[in-house]
Amino acid sequence: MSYAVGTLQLNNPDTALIRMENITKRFPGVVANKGVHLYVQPGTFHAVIGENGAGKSTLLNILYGRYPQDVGRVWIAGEEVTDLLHSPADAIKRGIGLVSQHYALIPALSLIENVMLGAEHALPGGFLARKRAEARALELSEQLGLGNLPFSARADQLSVAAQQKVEILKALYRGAKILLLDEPTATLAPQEADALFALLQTLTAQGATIVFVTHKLREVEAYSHAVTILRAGRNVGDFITAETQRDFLLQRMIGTRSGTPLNTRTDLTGAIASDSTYPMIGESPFNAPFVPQPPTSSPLFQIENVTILNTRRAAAVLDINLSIRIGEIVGIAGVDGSGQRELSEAIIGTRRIASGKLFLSGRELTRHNVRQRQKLGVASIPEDRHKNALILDFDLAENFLLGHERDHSWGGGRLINRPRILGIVDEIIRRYDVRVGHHGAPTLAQNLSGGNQQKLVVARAIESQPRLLVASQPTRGLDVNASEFVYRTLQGAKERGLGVLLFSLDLEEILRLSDRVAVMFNGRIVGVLPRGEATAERIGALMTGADSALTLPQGGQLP
Amino acid sequence: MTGKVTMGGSLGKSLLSILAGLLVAGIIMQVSGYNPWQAFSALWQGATGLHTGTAAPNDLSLGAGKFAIHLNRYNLAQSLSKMTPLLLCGLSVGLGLRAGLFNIGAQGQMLAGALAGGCVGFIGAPNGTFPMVLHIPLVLIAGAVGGAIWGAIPGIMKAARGVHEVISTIMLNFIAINLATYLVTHNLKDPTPGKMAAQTAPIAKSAWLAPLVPGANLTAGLAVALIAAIAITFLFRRAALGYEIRAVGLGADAARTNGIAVEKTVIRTMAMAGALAGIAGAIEVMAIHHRFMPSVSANYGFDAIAVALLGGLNGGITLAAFFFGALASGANFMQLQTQVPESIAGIVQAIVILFIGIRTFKPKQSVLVAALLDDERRLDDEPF
Amino acid sequence: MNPSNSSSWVAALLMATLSNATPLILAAMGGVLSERAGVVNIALEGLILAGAFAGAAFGQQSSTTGMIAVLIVGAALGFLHAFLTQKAKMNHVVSGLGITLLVIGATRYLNLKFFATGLNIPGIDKQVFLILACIMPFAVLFLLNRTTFGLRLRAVGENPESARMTGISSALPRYAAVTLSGILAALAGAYLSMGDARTFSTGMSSGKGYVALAAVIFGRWNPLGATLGALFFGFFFSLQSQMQIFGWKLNFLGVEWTSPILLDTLPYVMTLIALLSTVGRATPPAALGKEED
Repeated sequence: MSYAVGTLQLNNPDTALIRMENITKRFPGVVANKGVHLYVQPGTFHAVIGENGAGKSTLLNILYGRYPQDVGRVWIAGEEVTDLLHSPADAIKRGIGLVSQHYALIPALSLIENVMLGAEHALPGGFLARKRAEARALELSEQLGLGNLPFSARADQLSVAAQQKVEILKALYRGAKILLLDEPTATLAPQEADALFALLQTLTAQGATIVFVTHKLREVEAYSHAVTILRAGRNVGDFITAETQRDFLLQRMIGTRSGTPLNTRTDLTGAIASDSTYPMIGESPFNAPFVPQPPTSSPLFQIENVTILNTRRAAAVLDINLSIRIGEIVGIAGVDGSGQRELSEAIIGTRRIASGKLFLSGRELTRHNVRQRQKLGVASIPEDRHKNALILDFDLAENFLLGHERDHSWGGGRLINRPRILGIVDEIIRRYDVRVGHHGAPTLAQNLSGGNQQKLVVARAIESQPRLLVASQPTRGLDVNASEFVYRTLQGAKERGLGVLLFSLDLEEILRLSDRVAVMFNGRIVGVLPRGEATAERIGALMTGADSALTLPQGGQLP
Repeated sequence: MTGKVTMGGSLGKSLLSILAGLLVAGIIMQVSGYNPWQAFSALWQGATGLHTGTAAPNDLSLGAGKFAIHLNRYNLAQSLSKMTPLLLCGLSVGLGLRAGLFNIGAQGQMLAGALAGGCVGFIGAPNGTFPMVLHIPLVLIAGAVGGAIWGAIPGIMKAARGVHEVISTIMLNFIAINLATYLVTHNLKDPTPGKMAAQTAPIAKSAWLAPLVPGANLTAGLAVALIAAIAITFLFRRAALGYEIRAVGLGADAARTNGIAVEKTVIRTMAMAGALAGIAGAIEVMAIHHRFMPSVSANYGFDAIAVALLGGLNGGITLAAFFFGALASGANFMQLQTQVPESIAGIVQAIVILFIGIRTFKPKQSVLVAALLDDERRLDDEPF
Repeated sequence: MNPSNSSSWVAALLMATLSNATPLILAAMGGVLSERAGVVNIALEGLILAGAFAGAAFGQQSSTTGMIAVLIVGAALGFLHAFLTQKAKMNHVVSGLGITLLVIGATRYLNLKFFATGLNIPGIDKQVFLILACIMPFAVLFLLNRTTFGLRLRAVGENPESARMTGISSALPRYAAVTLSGILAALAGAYLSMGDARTFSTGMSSGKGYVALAAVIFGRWNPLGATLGALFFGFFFSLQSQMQIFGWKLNFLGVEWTSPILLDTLPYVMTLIALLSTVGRATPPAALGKEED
C-alpha cells in the first residue's frame, strides 16, 4: 500500500477525487440510498462493502450516471456534476469507467468492436478505423501486462475472467482514471481473482483511483486503502483499512440482527447447525407421512459417461462420471462456462444428453422428460428464478402449482381445485415465513422480493418430497437471511435422506455445504474432493485448470 | 420473437381505442368531402338497427311519436350474423395469444374448415337424406377437424423447428386460398351446366341452417359461437390444460423447467385455434352460402386479430366481436346510404389495434428492483 | 417463343427471377437493418403496399414526384413503427400488423375514392430498380460492418443495456434503422407499381413483405444471405408466369399441376420449406423483439 497509516485524509472533501454528499435514491417500494456520503481520495483503492441490498450498486450506478440521484450532490475532481440527466456518456467523459457483471461485453460482437463501441474515433464519413483501434488496444494491453489478445474473436469465446480484463481495457481505452468495479470477483476462481487484483494494483501504481464494491472482507483487508460500509441504504462508517479489524467491519456491515450468529459468517468451512424451526417435510400440509430413505450402499443418482453438446455442437460436458449417495450434498464447483449449466439442465431434463446415461436408484432416466423425472423424484431449484422457476405474472398459488398442475393432492388434476391450492399455499406461506403483504396467496409473484420468491421455489421443491434435489445458484442475489434459509433447507434435506446436487459459482457456499466437491473445468470433472480435503486453494486451482496433479480419479472409484 | 402480448387491459383503454378509431374515421370522412355526422348516423343505424324517424314495416318500436325508437331487425340480425365468425375467429386468435402465439392464419383455417364441412354437407345432396339433427353437427365436426389440421401445421413447425408462426400462418393463408380457388374451378366445380362461377354445387338441404330473421343471415350459428366462448372461458378458469397454456404463454422457460410439455402444448393450442376457425367456416357454408367458395372466409381472419386484441382476456372477446361485426355491417349500410366507402371500417380497425397496443409501462416491482440494484433488498428491513 | 429453344427459356427464366426478386431484395435489406437493430418488422408488407400506392398516386405526371412521394411515405411509416415500438413500447408484431392493416385499409379507401376508374402511370424503367437491388446488399453489408452507425446498430440489436453503458442511446440507431427499412420497403413497392405494373391494384403486394422477412431469417440476418434467399423465392414467383409463356403443361393423377393457380402457391410453400430447414441453426440478434426497457 502506498499510503502510510495516518497520511490518508479519509473524509476530506477538498482533496477528494470523488465526492458524493447526502445521496438519496428511491425506487418503487424501496429506498436504496438514504443520505449517503462517499469521499474517495485520488490514487486510492477504496472498498465499498455491505450485504446484498445495502445499496452499494445503486451508489455506483449513480456515480456512473446510469440513473440520477433524487437528492444529493456529486463532485468529480473538484467540479460539481450539476447535470442531473447525467448519463454514462458523461461519466466516461470525466474519466470514469465501470466494470459490472451484468452489463459486460456484448457476446456476439468481436473484442475490438466491444472495445471501440461508443469511442470509435471514426474516420471522416463514419467509417470504422479498425486497424488504428487494434493498434491502440494492443498498446494498452501490453502496458497492462495482458499481452496479445485475440481482438477479432467473438467476445463470448473468452472466459469470464478474460472478458473482465477486456472490460478494464475498454475503460482505459477511453482514458478512464477512475475505475468502478461492482462485485467483480463474484464468479471468479480464487486464482483468477488474484490476477485481477494484481492488475488493479498495477493500475493504482500508475495513478488510477479504484472504487471496489464487494461483500468479501478478505479482499477488502488484503487490497484496499480505505473502506466505506453501507447498511440498509445508509453509510455507517468510513475507515482506513489498516486501522480496522475484520470482525469490526463485519459487525458494522450486518448490525445486530437477531437470529444470525456471527460465527456462521466469518469463515468458510464452519459447519451449519440445522435450525429446529425448519419445517419438517414429514409435517407437510399434504399430510403424507414422511418415509425416511433406507440407507443403502448403492448410489442414489449416477451420471455415467455423459457428454452434452451445446448449441454450436461443441461439447459443453465431456464424458463425465459422478455419483451421489443418499443423505449427501455434492457441490459442483467451476467457473462460468465450465459446463455447470448444461449439466444441471441435463439432469433436470430440459437438455438432451448426447451420449451416456443417468440413473436414479438404479433406474435409467436418460430419455425421460422433465415430468417423468419429477414423478420419479427429481426436484429442482433452477438457476434463474425469474426465467426458469417462477412465472412472474402468475400469483403465488399458481406458481406453487407449477409442475404439479395434474396432481390431485396439490389441488390439480383435470380440473384445478383452486380453493384447495389456495389453502395449501396459505399454509406454506405461514410455515416458511414468506413475506407477501396483505393479499396472501393471490399475490402476484412479481410483487415479492427475491428472497421470498426463492423461499417459495424452495418450498415447492421440498414439499414434492423428492429423492434428488438439484439446486443451481440457489442464493444468487439473495441477502443473508434468505441465503441462510436456503442453506438450512439444503442441510435439512440432506439429513432426511435426500441427495442434493449443488451447482454454484460461489466457492464459499460450496465449501460450507458440501460433503464432497466435484470440480468442473472445460466440461470435464477434474477432481472430486471430500470435505476434509476441500480448500479454496485446491478447488480454485482445479477450477482454473491449473492443477490436475491434485485430482483424484474421476467418477466411479470414490472413497 | 413474439413475446408476451398485452391484450385488452382495462375497459377504459378499450373504449378509448374505439373512440380514437372512430375519430380518425371521422376526420378522413370530413377531409374526403363526406358529411361525417350523416355517415356516422348511417353507420349506427346499420350496426345496431336502432333509429328514430319513420318505422319500417318489420321494425320493433318503443315509445311513441317523436321520441319513438325503432329497431330494424334486419340490420341487427346482419350485425349478429357477422359477429358469429368474428367471435369464433376472435376466440381462435385469442387462444393463440394466451399461449404466446400469433395466429394470423384464421383465414386459412376457416377455409379448411369450410371445405371439410362442405364436403360432409354434400352427403345426400341436393335434398338431403340425413336428418338435420345429425347432419349439422357432423358438418360442424368436420369443420373443426379441417381447421384443426390447418392450424396444427404451423403449430408443429413452431414446436419442432421454431418457425415463427406469423410467417407460417400467413403463408398458409395464401396457400389455402389458392388451393380453394383451384378446387372450385377444377375438381369441385359446380357441374351444373351454365354455372361458371368459381364455387361448388349447393350442399344438401339437410345441412342448411335456417335464418332467424327473414332475409338476413343470422342463424343458430351464433349459439354455437357463444357456446364456444363459454367453453374457452371455462378452459382457462378451471381446466389444467388452460393453466398449462397460460403458463407457456407467460413463462415458457419456467413451464418447461417444471415439466410442462411446451411443444405439445403449442401444437394442441394451434390445433384448437384452427378448430375454432374451422367451425366458423363450416357455419358460413351452412348458414349463408350453402356451398363452398374461396370467399367464404372473407376478411374475418384479419378482423379477428382486432377482435382478440380489443377483447383481451375473459368475456371481452364476445363484446369485441359484436363491436366489429356491427362496425362491418354498419359500414356496409353506410356505403349504401351515403356512398362512404366501407373500407373505412378497415381503417378504424387498424387504429383500434394500434391504440390497444400502446402500453403504459409499469415496471415489475421486484424485477426492476433486482435489476437496477443488482442485488437484493428485503421489503421488510429494520430501522438503522 | 419456341419451347425447344433451350437457351432462350433459361435466359427468360433468369430475367424473370431477377425481376421478381428485385422487390424482395429491397424489402429484405430493410428487414435486415431493422431486425439487426432489434426491431421485428412485420410491417414490411404494409410498407411495400404504401410505397406502391404512393408511387402510383403521385407518379401520374412525373415519375420523379412519384419517387419522392415513395421516399417520404416510406420514411414516415418506418418512423411510425419505430416510434410505436420504442416510445409507446408496443409489441413489435402488433405494431407491424397494425401498420400493415392501416395501409391496406387506407390504400383501398383512397384507391376507390380517387382512382375508381383506373390508373395508368408512365412508370420507371425496371433497370433502375434492378441496379438498386444489386447495389443495396453490398451497401448494407458495408454499412453494418464498416461504419460507426452499423456497429452501434448491431450493438443495440444485441444488448441495448450494455450499449447504453458505453454511452450510446438505443433510440437513435433504432429509429434510423427502422426508418431506413421503411424507405427500402417502399422502394420495393415502387418497383411493383412504377416499374412493373404501371398501375396500382389493392393487395398488389400479395404477401411479398412476409416472404422478404422469411428471406431475412433464411439468410440468417445477413444482407448477402437474405439476398440469396430473395433470389430463391423470386425464382418461384417467376415460375408461374414463365410456364404460362412457354406453354408447359403437366397433368398427373387428375391434378393439373401447371395450373397457374397452383403454381401461385409455390413461393409460399417454398418459404415454409426454407424456414423449416434453417431455423434451429440460426440465432437472431439477441435483443430482437424484446420490449423490456
